[in-house]
Amino acid sequence: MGSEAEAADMFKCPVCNGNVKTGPDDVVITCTYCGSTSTIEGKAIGDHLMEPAVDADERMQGFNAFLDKNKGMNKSLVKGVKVVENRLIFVPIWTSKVKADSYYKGYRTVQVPVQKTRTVRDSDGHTRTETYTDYETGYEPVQDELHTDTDERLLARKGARFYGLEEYLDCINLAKTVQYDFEKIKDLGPDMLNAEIGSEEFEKTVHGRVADRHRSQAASGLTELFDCRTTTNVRGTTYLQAPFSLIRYKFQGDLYKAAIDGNTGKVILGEIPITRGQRIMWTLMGLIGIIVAGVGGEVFNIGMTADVTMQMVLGIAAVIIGIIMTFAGFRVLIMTQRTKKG
Amino acid sequence: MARCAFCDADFETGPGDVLLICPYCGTAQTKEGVKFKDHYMIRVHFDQHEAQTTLLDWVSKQLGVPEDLPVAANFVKYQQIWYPFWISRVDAQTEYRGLGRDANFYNEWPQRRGAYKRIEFFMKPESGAFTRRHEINIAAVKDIDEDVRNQPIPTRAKEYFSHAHAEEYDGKVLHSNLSEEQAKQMARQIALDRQTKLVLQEVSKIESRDDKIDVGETFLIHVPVWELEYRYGNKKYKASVSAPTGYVIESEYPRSMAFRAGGIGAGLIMLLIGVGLILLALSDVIGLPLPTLFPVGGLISGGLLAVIGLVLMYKGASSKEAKERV
Repeated sequence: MGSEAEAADMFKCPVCNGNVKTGPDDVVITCTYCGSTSTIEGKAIGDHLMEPAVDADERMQGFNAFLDKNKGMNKSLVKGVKVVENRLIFVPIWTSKVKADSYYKGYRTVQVPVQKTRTVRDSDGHTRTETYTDYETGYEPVQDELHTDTDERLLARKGARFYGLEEYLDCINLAKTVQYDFEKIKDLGPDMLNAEIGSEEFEKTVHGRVADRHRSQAASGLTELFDCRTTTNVRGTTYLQAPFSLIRYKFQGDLYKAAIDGNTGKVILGEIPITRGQRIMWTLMGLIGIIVAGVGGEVFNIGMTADVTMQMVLGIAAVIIGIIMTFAGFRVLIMTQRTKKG
Repeated sequence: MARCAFCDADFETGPGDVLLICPYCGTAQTKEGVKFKDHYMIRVHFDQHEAQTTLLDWVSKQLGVPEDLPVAANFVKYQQIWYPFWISRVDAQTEYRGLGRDANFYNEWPQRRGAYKRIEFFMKPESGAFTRRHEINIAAVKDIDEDVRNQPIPTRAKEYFSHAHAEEYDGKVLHSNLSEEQAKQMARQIALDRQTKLVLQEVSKIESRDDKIDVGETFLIHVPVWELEYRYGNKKYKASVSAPTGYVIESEYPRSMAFRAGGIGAGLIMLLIGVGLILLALSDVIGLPLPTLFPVGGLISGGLLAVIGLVLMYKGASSKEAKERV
C-alpha cells in the first residue's frame, strides 16, 4: 500500500520527547502526553489558554433546560427526546484584540425643507398668497473617522465550519479561560483538534476582516463612499482551546440538533420540533387573525363615516394585529422546525 | 485506461482526468506517472447504514413527509463517492494607482448647515495597497452538484489519503480533472479577481497595478459523500449525505397524498372564500347585482385568505429538495 506508510505523521514533543500523532496540516500541536503546546517547528507559542469543560451529564442538563424553555405547549418534549450524539470536542481558536482606525470620505443626500409661496384663489374669487413647505435635495459631504477596538476570534481550521459556529465564537468569555492543562479535561474524553492556521495567518485574516467591516460600516450611512483607509493593530494574540459539543437528538422519530457551549453546558443554538398540536394551534391563531383584521377594517370604516377618531384608531390597530397574527400563525404551519438561540 | 506507475495495475480513467488515483495501491499520480504527495482525505464516520438512517430520520421531519417513510423507504442505490478538491493558500499583495471619485460641494442650504445645493463629481488620482491572504477551494471534477461543491470541509482532522480506508466502504475515488499546475493557476486567478474587486471599491478606474501573488501550499483532498437513492411508493428520490459528519447535503423527498390533498384543498377553499369576500366588498365598484358587504374588512380578510390559500396550494403541489443548514 503505497500511501499507507505515511499515514501517521509523528511530531516529537520538545518538552517531554513524546511522539505525538498529528494531522498533515497541523501547525500548532498540543502534546497528548504532557499537554505542552508548540508550533510544528518546535517553538513555544505564547499564551495557550483553554476553557474548562463540563461533563456529558451537565451538558444534558443544559440541553434539557433549553428544551424546557422552548417547549411551548409541547409538554412531552423533554421526556420524549432521545439523544443520539453528545460528543465533546476542543476546537482551536485564535483570539486577539484588534484596534482599527479608519478615515473615510463620502457624501449623503438629505431632504432640506424649503418654504415656498404660491398664489391661490379662494371660493370668493379673491387671490392670496400662502406659504407651504417643500423638500429639496441637499448634498452633505461627510468626512469622518471610525475607531474600534474589538476582540476577534477565528476557528483555526482551514475551510471548516460547524453548526452554531458564529454564535459559539461570540459566546466565548476570555475572563473564564485558564492556562491550558490537559489533566483537567482528560477524563471527559474529548477530541482535541490541532490548529491548521498559524498565528501570522490569523493576524492577516483578521486585518482583512476588520478592514472590510469598517468599510461596510462607513458605507452604510452614505450615498457614496469615496475613500476609506484603515490601519489595524493586532495585539495580544492568544491560542485558545475551547470546548464545544453538538447534540443530535430524536423526537418522534425525527432528527434535530443543538450546539452546546462545552464550558457552561448551555445551548447556544438549537432546533426545536413543532408538533401537530402546535401547528393546529398556530393555524387557529392565523384564522382568528384574519377575522380580527376584517373586523378591524369594518370598525375603521364605520369610524371614518361617523368621524370618530377613537374608532378609527382602534380599527387600524386591530387590522395590524390581525395581519401579524395571520402571518405568524400560518408561518408556523409551514415551518419545518424552529431555530432558537440559547 | 491507465497503468499505475507504482503497482503496474491497469485501471479505468475518464476523458478529463489528469491526476489519477490508482484503485489498487492508492497512489496519486500524474498521467506521466509522477507521484503526487500532498494528497489527503477526511475519514468516514458514518457507514452506509448510519448514513441511511440519519438521512431518513432527518428527512422525515420535513413538511408533509409520509409518516411511514423510515420503514417503507427502500434504498436502491448507495454509493460512496470520494470527491476531490484542491485547496490553496494564496498570499496576495496589490499596489495600485488609479482614479477615484470625489466631489466638490457648492451653495450651502441656509436652513441646513452642512448640506449643499449642488454637487460636482471629479476624478482624482489615488494609490494604495491591499494585502490579503486567500484560501481557495476548487472542486477538481467538472461534473459536480452545486451543493456537494459548496459543502464545508468538515472540522475533522484530515489525514494522508489511504486507499484501504476508501475500499472498506467500496468507495469510488474520483480522479482529478485538474493537475496541480492548473489548480494553482486557477487559485492565482481567483485571488487576482478578489484583489481586483477590493481595488475597485477604492478607485473606479485602475491605471496601473502591481500584484505580488504567491500561491503557497496547495493540496488535494478527497471528501467522501454517500450518494443515495431510495424508493418510496413508485418514485425514486436522490440524496447526498456527508460521510464524515452525517449532514444531509441535499435530499429530494416524497410528500404524502394526504398532505398534498390537504394543502391544495384547504388552499383552494381559502382562495375561493377570499375571492368571494373581495367580490362582495367591491360589488358596487364592479357592478355586481349583489349588495356590498363589509367594504373594508372584506377586502382585508379576503386578501389575507387569498394569499394564504395560494401559499398552501403551492406547498401542496410543489416538490422540493431539502438541505441541512450547517
